[in-house]
Amino acid sequence: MNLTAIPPDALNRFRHAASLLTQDANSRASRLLILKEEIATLRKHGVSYRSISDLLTQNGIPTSDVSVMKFCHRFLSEKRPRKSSANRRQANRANRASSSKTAPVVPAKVTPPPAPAMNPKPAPVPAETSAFTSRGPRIAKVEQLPPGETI
Amino acid sequence: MTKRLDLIFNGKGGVGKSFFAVNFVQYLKDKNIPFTACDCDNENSTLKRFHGDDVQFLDLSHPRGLDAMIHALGKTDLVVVDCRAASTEVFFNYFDEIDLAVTLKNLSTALTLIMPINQEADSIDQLNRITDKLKNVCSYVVLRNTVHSDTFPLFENTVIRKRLLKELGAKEITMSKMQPWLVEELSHHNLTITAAVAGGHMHLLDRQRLQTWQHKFYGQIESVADLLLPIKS
Repeated sequence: MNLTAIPPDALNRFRHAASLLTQDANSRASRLLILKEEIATLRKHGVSYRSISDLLTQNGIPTSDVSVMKFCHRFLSEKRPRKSSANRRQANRANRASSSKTAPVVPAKVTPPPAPAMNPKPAPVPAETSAFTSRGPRIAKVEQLPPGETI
Repeated sequence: MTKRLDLIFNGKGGVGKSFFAVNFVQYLKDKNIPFTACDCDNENSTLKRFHGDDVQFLDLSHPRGLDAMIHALGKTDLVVVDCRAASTEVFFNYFDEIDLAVTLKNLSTALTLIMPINQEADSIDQLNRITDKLKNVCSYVVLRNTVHSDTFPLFENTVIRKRLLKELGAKEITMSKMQPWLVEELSHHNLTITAAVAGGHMHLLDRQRLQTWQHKFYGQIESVADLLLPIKS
């Protein structure tokens, strides 16, 4: 690598800018830390990152929704809902296998056919008491007693 | 004396929660039973519309909005809350926050959920959701609202009904249909049945129809009074 290709003053400027950026990110995080309890309560009540950032901004603490999200992930141990691509592939395989009773079991080393673009992936169902509460649809399911059984 | 907290509760809208609440509160007034009534519907505060200052509004958007219904138990032995549709999650989170079972024990209070249902699967499915969460922390009264039909074929032979009746000691009552023009007239003037019967707004026969309806309704309430009213020691 030819280091002389980057002028020394440019290197210094970059290092200085990088240190400022890191410092700024830390100060933003530590500024929200004193509000950790309040933000945790709001999240528990299902208030969105954007609503929290709006609330903070309206009250003189300018913060973006992304900052709030990062804070929640980092300090409130909220998990990112996104799955890794490996997990997604595995879930898609399981979904295909369960949706087709007649489909033969695919050996582990055989590459499955490519998934269709709209293949539904199973969504995790969070517990009622978790910090994240599902906002997805709830489809009514009324279970009847077996035939012949009465109350 | 064991105090009583009555929640009129079903996340499904239009099942008759507020209609029941308006008439139940009137029953308490007519029988001179002391109570505190709360309405937490910020969009359609029907209970407050009919009973005015006798009803306290609970703001569900406030993190401590529901505290008032617990505080009210310090003043009266009976607190009645008309819960807003689609508020199940809010109440469940609150119950977790305050550790409902412990709080009720500390306050010597028994909780009863009055759960109106109609012919829609959604209203019946809510019973699953509610009982899965609260199990035997409270008592249950299922209110069959016959506004659409006298029969409930979808509900009769369900697993949830069996669980409620056999395992959780639930009781069932029926709220009969009121003639639509009577509902309209009462609503137009914000009149409870008792007020309408006492006043001169309505025709004699309509007043009589209202009294007949109210008599049936009060009979149903009294059939489950042990689950709705404070327990005398």
